[in-house]
Amino acid sequence: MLSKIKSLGLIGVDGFDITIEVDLGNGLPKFDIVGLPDAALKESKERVHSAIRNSGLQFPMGHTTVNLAPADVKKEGPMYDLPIALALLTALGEIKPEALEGTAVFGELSLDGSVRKVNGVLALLITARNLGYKRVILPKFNQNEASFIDGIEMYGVENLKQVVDFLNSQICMQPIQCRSFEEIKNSADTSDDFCYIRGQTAAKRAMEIAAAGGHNIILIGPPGAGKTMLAKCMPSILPDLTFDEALEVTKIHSIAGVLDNTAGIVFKRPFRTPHHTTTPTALTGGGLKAKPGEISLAHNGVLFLDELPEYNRNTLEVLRQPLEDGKITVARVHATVDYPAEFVLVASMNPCPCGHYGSKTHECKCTPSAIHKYLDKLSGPLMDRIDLHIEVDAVSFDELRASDHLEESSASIKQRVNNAREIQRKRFAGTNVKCNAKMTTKMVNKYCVLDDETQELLKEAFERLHLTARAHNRILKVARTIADLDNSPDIQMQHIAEAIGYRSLDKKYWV
Amino acid sequence: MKKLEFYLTLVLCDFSLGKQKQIVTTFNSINQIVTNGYKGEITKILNNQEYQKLVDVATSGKIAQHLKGLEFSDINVICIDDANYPQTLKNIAQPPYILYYKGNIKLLNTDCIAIVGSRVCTRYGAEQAEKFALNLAKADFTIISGLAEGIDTHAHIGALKAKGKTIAVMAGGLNNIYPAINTNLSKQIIQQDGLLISENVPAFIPKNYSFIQRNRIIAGLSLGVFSPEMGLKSGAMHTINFALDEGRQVFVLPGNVTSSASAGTNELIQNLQGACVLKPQDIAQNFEGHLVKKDETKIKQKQLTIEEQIVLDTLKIQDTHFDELLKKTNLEAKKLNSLLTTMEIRGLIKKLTGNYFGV
Repeated sequence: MLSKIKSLGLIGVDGFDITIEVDLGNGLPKFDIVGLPDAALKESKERVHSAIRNSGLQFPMGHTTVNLAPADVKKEGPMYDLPIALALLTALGEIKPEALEGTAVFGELSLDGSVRKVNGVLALLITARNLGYKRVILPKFNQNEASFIDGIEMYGVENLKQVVDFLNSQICMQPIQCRSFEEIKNSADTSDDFCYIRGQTAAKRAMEIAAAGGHNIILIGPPGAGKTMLAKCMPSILPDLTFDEALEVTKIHSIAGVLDNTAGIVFKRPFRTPHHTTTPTALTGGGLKAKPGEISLAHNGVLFLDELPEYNRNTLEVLRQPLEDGKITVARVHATVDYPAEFVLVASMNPCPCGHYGSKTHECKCTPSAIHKYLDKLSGPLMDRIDLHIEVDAVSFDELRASDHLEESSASIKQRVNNAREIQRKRFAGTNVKCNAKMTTKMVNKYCVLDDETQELLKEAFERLHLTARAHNRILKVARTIADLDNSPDIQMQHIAEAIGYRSLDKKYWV
Repeated sequence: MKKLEFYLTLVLCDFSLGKQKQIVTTFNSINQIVTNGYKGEITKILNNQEYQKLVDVATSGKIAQHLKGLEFSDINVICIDDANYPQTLKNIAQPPYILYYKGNIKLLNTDCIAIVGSRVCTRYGAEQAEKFALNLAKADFTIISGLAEGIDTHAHIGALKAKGKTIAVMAGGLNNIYPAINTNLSKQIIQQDGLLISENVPAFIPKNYSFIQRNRIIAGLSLGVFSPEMGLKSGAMHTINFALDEGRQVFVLPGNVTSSASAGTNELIQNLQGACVLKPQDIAQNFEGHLVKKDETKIKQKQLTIEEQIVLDTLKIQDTHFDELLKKTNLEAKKLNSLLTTMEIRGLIKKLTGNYFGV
């Protein structure tokens, strides 16, 4: 007896069609799984065996062969337990073959027959919809995540017996109800807020620009100046995620297995803070199974690298290509995959090993060569990709205790950021570009036109501040964002001047 | 030539300065020592082992080999009897018998001012070192320093900016630039017709004492020694002491009394060991034929706005943080930011580390 069932597999963030074939033949009892299964998949025969038996159903005797087609693609993970079990039962005649027509199935089985959660559900469902499946059977545990997909009938199941009864029309089940993204989104709140940070006006302004235009930013200052606190408040002013962006992020988080299942979707922009002992692979993704790394998890959000020079130089250099391309290509023996990695880099560092170089309150005890060595850890090309440099100094006690005026709250900053993003969205409608920072050179020429007087100022700045040619486009992009925040269609003199102000570190430390 | 070989032999034997001087004053040529054998006067200066070393270096062709090596690495050498060897240096207590050099040797006989100071310097020290070097170089002085980090580096840079003359006296050998970070600077000095000198063989790795010995050459070569910034235990204090011993003029720039970086210079002023100077002209007027011209590059000031005037007035008193300026001018952060940048571009103010601004 032969049976075929449809399931789905994942390469990177994209899914593909898998057919699970089961053949029952005569002979000595034997159970084989073929079609490049990995270790978890090979062990699935034990789980399937127990699950079927413990569900009160019969496990086939004789020579059983399970094939996962296409046979030349490596299949990973335990998510084929449920389709294999269903295929076996179909081959035995326990389920009618018509019952599974146009249906894709995935789920991990427990020994007692219950269905456990799997990773990457969102990506699988989007693939299923694109491939034209009408119905998907998935673990009930993943139904929150599934509920944001419409146009396909989805059933969340708890155990094997329930699936079999449902397919044999012995019980009725409700398909998963679609939920709206808006209602979830509004429940987003962050505990960090800019109104709790006294002073640091310049830094706050720079963060606002970074959030509005998706620019990379570095905060430089002595220990205790509030760099980390400022960075942690960044999520509170990041623009809202659109539904499409949320789906992209959720897909990656789901594949990596870090998705919060109660919400089922990532509704806040991710804020990833890998420690400085992180390896290059953990950052880029990859490893044996080519999993998404920190930079992909930070897709559409923020990657915060605290104490930048403490990171291994190799680790930092891998950031260069993704910062430019917005994606990372991971090539491993078994697969070559592209993971999206469009993130805003927020970094912080001390100006020297002791941290007090240039501080007014503490004396720096570092030798010039020690400072040089410390800064040498950061390569020029990496620094070139950071648009905004802002120096923060410790706030004085008086300022800390001042109660005469209230600091602006994150909510009102976010309002401006959202407005600026809206302008950008309209500007880049129909292209892949989402924010000013990602403009191509052609777009810069088109959208960053300067009048003669402003051009003159920029030219003068270049000569006087010894800026590099590479800084030119960065300045224009930042100026564009500043103009957007100002709701100004043209880039004016003051916008350019402010943008140049954020680059002036170039000459001080790195030239 | 004979004399040069004589001196080179002593340098290659790595004898101390005292022993070198004793040998040179007692004997006329190396042959005299070698043919005499280890008896008489020489036994009072060298022990048997050192004597054998001397004979070995003198007779085994090592000198010729050494000279060839010098040619290969483009290094020249002069001895104390050379016409280019400056009289001022000859007269110090322990003049170097050999000077290795790269660049324009004629600079040794020009009017030189040494600028020395701490390796760890503040912005004040660095700026003043550069400013004094620039103006003194323009006034036709040759700026001498030690190519070390901090004040030395800025002194050389100032002289190079003025397209003036500068000499770097190094503690290590000429093929062993120390600190390595200044290798580029040393190349620039050669390019701009400057001079690098050292009394040690080109591959010499500087020892702690060689910096002090080097300082006697710096003091010896110059008419006056100027220190813009110096801590209490700075190595530059040796240069000052050499200068005082050799009767050179000592000039110092006063610093903030609370600044430990200026403690050494301030003490010199208090003890009346150094003349307190406030501007480059104060040094130049002590020597004939040098005149510091007034700074012509004054920026033609546009009409300043009220905010710009407030910023400028505040910064003239002391360096001020962005947030402080924000309060003083009552501007929005974005406005102030663009205002400050425009002022910086116009050359009115400077951005400092830690988001501080100064004039």
